[in-house]
Amino acid sequence: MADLLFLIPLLPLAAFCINILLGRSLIGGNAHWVAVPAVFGSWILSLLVLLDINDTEHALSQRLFTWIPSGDFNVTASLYADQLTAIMLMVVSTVGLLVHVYSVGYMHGDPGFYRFFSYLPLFVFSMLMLVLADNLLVLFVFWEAVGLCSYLLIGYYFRRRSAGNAARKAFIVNRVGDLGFGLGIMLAFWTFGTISFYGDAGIFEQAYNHEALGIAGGTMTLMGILLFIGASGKSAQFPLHVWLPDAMEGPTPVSALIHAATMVTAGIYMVARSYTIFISSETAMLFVTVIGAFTALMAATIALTQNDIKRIVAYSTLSQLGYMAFAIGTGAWVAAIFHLMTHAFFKGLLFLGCGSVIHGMHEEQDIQKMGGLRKYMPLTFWTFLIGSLANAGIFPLAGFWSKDEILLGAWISDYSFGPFASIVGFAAAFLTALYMFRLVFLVFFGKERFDTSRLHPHESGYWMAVPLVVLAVASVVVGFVGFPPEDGWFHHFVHHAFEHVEEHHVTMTQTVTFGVLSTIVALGGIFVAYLTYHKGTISAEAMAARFPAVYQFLYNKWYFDELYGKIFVQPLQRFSDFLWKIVDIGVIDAAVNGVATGISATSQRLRQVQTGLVANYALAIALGMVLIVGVYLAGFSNLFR
Amino acid sequence: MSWDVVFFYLIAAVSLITALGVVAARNPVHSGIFLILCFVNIAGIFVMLGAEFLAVIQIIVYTGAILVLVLFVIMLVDPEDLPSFHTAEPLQRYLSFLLGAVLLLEIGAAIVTRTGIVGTGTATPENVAAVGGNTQALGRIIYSKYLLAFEVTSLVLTVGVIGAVVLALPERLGERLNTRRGTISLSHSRGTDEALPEGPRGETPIRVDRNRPAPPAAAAQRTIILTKDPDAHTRVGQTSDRTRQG
Amino acid sequence: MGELTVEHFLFLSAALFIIGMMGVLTRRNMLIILMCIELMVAAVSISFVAFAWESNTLGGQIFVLFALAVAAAEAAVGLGIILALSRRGKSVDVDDLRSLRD
Repeated sequence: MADLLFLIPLLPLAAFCINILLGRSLIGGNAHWVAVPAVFGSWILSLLVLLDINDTEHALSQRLFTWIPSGDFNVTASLYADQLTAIMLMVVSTVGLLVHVYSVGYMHGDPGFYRFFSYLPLFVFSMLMLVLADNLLVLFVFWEAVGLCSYLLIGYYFRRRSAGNAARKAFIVNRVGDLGFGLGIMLAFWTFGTISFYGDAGIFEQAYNHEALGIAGGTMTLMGILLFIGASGKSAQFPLHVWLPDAMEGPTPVSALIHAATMVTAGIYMVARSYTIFISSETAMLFVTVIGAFTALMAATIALTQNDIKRIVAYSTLSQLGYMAFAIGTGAWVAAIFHLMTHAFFKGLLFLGCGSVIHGMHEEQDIQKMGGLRKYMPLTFWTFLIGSLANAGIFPLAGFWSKDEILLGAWISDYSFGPFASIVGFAAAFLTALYMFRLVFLVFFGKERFDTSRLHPHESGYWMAVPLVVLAVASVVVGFVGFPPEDGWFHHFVHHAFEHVEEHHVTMTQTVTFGVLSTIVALGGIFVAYLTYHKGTISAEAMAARFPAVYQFLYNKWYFDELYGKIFVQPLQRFSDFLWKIVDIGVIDAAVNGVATGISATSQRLRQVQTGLVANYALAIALGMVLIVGVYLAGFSNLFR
Repeated sequence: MSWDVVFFYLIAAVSLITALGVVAARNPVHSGIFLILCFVNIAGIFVMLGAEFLAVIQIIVYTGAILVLVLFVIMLVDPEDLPSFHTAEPLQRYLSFLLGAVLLLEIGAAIVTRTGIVGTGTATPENVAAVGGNTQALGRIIYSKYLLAFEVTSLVLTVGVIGAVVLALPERLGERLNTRRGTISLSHSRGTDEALPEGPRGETPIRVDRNRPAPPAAAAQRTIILTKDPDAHTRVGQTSDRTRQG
Repeated sequence: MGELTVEHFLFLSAALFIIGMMGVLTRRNMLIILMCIELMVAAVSISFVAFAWESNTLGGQIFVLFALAVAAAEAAVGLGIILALSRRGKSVDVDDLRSLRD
């Protein structure tokens, strides 16, 4: 099985190559027949890998080739799959496959069909390689590759100016995070002398034994913080979260795959992979927890006020990523991965449902112009409802199990700041339920707020419906792989990847208490949403009018974009203008043109020597002769000796 | 003060004055006469330097033949065509005076600081007299040591003769070319051709004009008509200012 | 100043040469320019013969002989050119030779 590891990323890569090279000429509208089977093949292989690892409890590895043989610094391209990787492979390939199938229907008739179906498998390839990488450099390469694919896909509708801007914003903010990541990699190499993950001389073992090896605790802290800065660029944690809502400019399947299930989880994956570095430093863990918890709460507050259907779900993603982050920060590693998996399914479902709604409403995205859609799109309604319930964490859907574990895990964490994070998590859970069901009630219930004579919403086709159903089923049942809490198959499986951390042991009392508490909180949120947006007992407008400043603050996303614009973007713009006008045009161009003008002017003057008169030329000869005689006299004669 | 020095200064003074006369005379004929006088004086200098053969050759060949030739040509070229003395640009004049002065200083400096070649050769006056004189000594050397140079020089003279003859030749008799635009006649320096109508470019036949400014560039594109009869296409003097027979 | 030395003749030769050179550079009539060139050749001949006299060799005189011959040929050809020019109706003014101008 290990020998076939390379096929898992290779199949989508081949699909990309075929589609991008032959797409315009040969394949055109049939590009999905290349891409979907390729990803399906990856899915099958990932499943086999999972089963294999489950049986043998050994990791699989395959060495591909030596990439950089430079003396002591030897980088090989190898694939390594342990339990954590296997779970990630399943998540990526499953959601990837379903999104591919969905896109066949969603992108039908789009002129860039083949382009979409070349970028999408390219992304799947990059993500698969990222999770299969066994050293920091290869991981970083594919980290960048997924960023590139994100850029390509966000800017897919490249003729729209806003799409281009959003793609650039995503890439640039990512790069800021990558600066931290890069510095962290260099620090790791400098400290440990290697960039390889595994083995006794690998980074993680050395990090775990850092005290015995004489590595200072401060170094580990710094390393952890730098790595997490990289992760927060990719996983959209505060303060690098600003790109994710704008990334909704891309087609909805892209949002589902990249910005819900896979790319944004790459950061979480990377931190989970490097857990030994983080557990060596309590400060780093605190850093992660604070940022994660803050992001979770902040995103939830913003989501309350947004009106674009995709943006609400995007902020929900931000919030859930914050959950995963503070789960990691408080030491609930397995819970974070569990939530990563369940979130991939129900968030993917929610995004695909959004796509279905947008498609049915003929590209309308403002929820204030929707309403009562459950009559027109029943399938979408029911799947969306399941997804929302899972997101809110209602028993017995998938989200309940994972979120509950995070809250409990944070509470019982070894770190002192754990319980605070847990409380923040509860607050965010309330808000999560509130805004999700605001969305549900405003879109699917109530009276239609659009012109029914003009607009006839319709249900989606089969290509789009089947993935919705599959994901809905998954959102219901996948939670049970982690049942009973902290003791299920999932925990035992994944814990092998976190060997140096003790398993959490929870009592039944704690479990039940937290379960009940989280359900109450979630139901409370749903109830408030019901009252406000369905019954109308509480008036949202009145609330907004009572606290106008708060409302504006939340509506404008805590003014982050404006802040960054003032601090970074505008000065940079002015500096670029300066460099352009004064340095490039004024100095460099002027110098070059000045040389040309100078030469031209000089040659014009010199030209006047050519009078055409033979007498002048004779004079020139005589002059030359006098000069030569003079030189001879001065240099070679007795005159000056 | 020996007589040698006196004679030298005398001859040198005369030669310098006549040289200045060559340069400064308005009339080229005067220039030629001055040059003849200068050369005679130079021949005197040669005699003082013991090169009698050269002195005589100088007078016979240079003055007797070359300068006479020059005088002939001066007469052939219309003496009234005399342009003014100095060149058009004053810069040329001043610069050439300056150069002359500088060169004089340089050569003077070179002469003064030279390390002389003290008589090391074998052609001392006694030896030369023993052979029979300057001419005999020269003869001995030319036909033995410098034979090749002698032959080459004769070649140069031959080529010079051929060149001079070709340049001065009248046009050959031959056929006529088709196009009849403006023409030149080589045999009649003052003649113009038959009244051709103005050419397609508005050209008129060439005239010889006393105070003519520089000929325009279009004049260089004229073709040559080669005819059997030099008089057939020329109308001598009719359209020119002078009524002279060509 | 008592003895007659080579330097006397050399100075004379230099002076004649320079006079000839200024004539070449200054005058407009081509024939006079030709005569000044001849003057320059003659001045150099004096110099050669002076050196030959000083060093008791005959090489200088031989050179002058040949220079004389070459100057004769050159004068002949030059005069032929001037004659041909004047026959074609162009003047013998050196300032009219302007075709090297751009």
